[in-house]
Amino acid sequence: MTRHQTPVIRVDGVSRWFGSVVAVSDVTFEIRPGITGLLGPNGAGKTTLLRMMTGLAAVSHGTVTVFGEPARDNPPLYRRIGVMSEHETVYGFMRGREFVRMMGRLRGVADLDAAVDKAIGLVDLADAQHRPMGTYSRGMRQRMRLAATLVHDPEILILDEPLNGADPRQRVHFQRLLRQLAEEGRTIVLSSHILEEVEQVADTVLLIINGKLAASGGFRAIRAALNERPYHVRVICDEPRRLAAAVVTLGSVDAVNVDPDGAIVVLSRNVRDLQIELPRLAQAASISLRRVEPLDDSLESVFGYLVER
Amino acid sequence: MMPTGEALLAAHHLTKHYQDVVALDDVGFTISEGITGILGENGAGKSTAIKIFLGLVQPTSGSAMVLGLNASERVEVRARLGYMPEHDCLPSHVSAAEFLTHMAEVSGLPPSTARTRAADTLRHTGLFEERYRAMGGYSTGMKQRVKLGQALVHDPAIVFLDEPTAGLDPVGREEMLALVRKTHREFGISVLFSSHLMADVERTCDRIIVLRGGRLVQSGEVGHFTKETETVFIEVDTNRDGLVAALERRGVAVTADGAGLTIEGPDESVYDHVRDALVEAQAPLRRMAPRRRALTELFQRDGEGAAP
Amino acid sequence: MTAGTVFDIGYQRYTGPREGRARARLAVFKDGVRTALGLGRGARAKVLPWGFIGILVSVGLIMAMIAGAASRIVGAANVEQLNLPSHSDLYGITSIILFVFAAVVAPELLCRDRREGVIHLYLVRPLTGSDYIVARWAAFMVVMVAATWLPQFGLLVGLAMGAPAPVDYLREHWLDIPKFLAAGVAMAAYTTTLALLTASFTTRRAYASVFLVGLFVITTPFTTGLASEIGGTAGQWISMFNLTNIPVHVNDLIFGEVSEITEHAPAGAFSGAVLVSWYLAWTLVPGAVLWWRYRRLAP
Repeated sequence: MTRHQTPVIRVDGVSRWFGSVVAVSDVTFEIRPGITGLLGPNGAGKTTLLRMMTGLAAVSHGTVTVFGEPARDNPPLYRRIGVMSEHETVYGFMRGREFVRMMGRLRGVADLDAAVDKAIGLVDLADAQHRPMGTYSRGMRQRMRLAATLVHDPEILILDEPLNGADPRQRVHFQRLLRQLAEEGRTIVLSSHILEEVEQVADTVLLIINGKLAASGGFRAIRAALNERPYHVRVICDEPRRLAAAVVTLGSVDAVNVDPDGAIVVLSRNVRDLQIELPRLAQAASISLRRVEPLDDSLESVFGYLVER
Repeated sequence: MMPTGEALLAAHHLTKHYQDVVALDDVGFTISEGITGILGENGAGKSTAIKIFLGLVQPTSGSAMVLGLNASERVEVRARLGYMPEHDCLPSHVSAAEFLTHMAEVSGLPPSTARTRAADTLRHTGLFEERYRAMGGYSTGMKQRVKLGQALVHDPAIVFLDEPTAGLDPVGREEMLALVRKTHREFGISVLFSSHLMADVERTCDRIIVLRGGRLVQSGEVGHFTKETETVFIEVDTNRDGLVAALERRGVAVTADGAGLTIEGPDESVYDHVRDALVEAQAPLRRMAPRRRALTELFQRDGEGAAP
Repeated sequence: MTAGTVFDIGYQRYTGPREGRARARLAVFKDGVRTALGLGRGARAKVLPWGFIGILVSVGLIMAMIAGAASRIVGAANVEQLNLPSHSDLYGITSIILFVFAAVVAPELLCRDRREGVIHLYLVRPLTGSDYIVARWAAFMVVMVAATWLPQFGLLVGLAMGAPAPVDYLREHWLDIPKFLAAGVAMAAYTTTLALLTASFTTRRAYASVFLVGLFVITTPFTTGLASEIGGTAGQWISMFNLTNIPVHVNDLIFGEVSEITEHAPAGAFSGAVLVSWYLAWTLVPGAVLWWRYRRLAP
């Protein structure tokens, strides 16, 4: 997948306060085409930030530019952005197709019916489009709202918890859809609490804690930057204590724990060093390695560490 | 305590129609001791099944038994059941301590025991000084703990949790899942847990039941679906090609697999070959483990989830 | 070294008594009484209920003081001729206060539980919908009965103390006691049932309160005016729809004398049987509807 170098969304020194409550505090980042995950604890300021990025809210300080133009008070820009916010109710009496059509008309979509067909097809709701949305399950309503967000073929997609209520099959389908949309060159910002899924689709993540940007980039690189946290790697071999004795001689290793079930957990500050040395030490001591597993190699662990800091 | 093996919950040809919507369609399953997950889209089947077990909704046909009894006819059996609804259900002007004491009494506990059990339950679910404040001022995480607390305070045999992680951020979600595990492993209370998040179910449940469109689509042990296969998966950070070459020189057949490699049906000697090949190629080893199937793979196919 | 022990304060299974539906109903009842009186819910929750009770008791005491003062002025022997308001009139006088009290306090027992979703937690316990509403009704009934009886006791004590020989006073007038107790129950039952029924139709307390106050306060002048305009039997029937008077007519029948308030009500012309049946219709039918609504409640 080709990645353009020009940032699509630029947030520069942005702050937002409501009286004495500072929701977003001096945040600077750039978003490029592809999928960016926006993460953070509840109340961290993600929604406020998304609203400023789409021009729905003003900044208290700083600038937000989209495609080089200011985001605020810029109606032509809205045609190029699709926004799906977390809490929105839809009219229960309205049929799915009518809803998508209405959103398309509001955006001035040319060739409306074709666009509506395409959008509804992307979310796989062609069978249900003529039923009133009040009869939909929550997952279906979310998908129809997504179709309404896609109907005007926006270059930027801002999605806030789009999968609330969707079942596992729909989630898999949605991930594929997102990747497909990203491959077409779109810029997608996805805010979600389900880190396992964000890990699978996002190229980069932005982590907001208490209104500040706590981390950005690929999660592995973020993990590497957290050098005060030793890596935990679990190793199963045929002679655990002998291997432990050998491993503890490495300078980068802080500690080795021996589990009751015979596995050892190595705490190391330099994971690369361990990755090279572990097989070498095992070979030198004629120990057979059966299993090597990093225990905090996930976005979830990274998130946990950053929130705790 | 139920003798092990005997069913806590049993659904038999369970069907529920609402006007023109079929919420449940001839569903049958049994649930015994342990943590069971009901997976499926929000609304429709899962919540309806739970409400029928609790005796709040009458099935159109079929039966749903709890501890061998029908909860809508024999209302007393609900003293042994706990329910944590998904939606808000806490009075805003009452404190958690008073509310839990009241709920314990309404479940049949005498007033003095109700008070002490309420206090203990609040401690076990992690609510401390805040328990004396009115619940209107609680955060989502605190409210979830109280909701779980009122489901446990009367020491039920089984609790029904309806989307317990809804609205929680990742840290809150992990804490709630840990509480769910604690409920079974430490408190010995069985759990029926409905969720639309596979990861929740994978991390906490022993068994799962999958509903789609009101029908039972899958049911079985989680371990059964995610069991380790006979293949070894290896992931290195750099020099994968060098590793492949080193392995082939030692006569080990490898296939590329996403970011790593897999080796089929290894015998004992393969591990040492891998170790030696890693040293020779100087490839930094990130991971070496038997490949585990993820529950997601059940849903990768477009049709109904295939049986394993 | 001294011995030490670590105690297990982990989760304990409960093996004690489980008292089932009876305990559940009692708990809902107790909670209803506490909610109505604002007990255990902070100072603000106590203001309205206790304020009203204070006013009601004051009315009784003031009446007693007036009677005492009159007796001193015209002499004990002549006081009867003044026909001052007494026990039989008290409900007529306090009815409006009682209705407003019910309008403001009764919705607390039902509306909040439905609005905040707490009702769902009740319904998954060994408690049916009808158990719940019966317990809540009983709770508010107890509070209403106390609110109706207290002023009467205040009046009684006041009159007895004001009389030259209190013991003689009581001996002569003891029949008043069972009369006002019975009339009080009738008043309380009517008010409780109508107030709770109204509260069962909305989740917002304010709407229920406003509706009830409007219902009781507005129908009074409206029906009175209309009844006197039209006159005759039609006027009498219109007067029957003066909702504040319905229990007061029963009060009159119990005391055997017409109270100050209902003196001029055309409906008073109907026979006792008609008035009692009308009262029962306006109490039992709403009661049945209330019971029915909650019996079928499902989340």
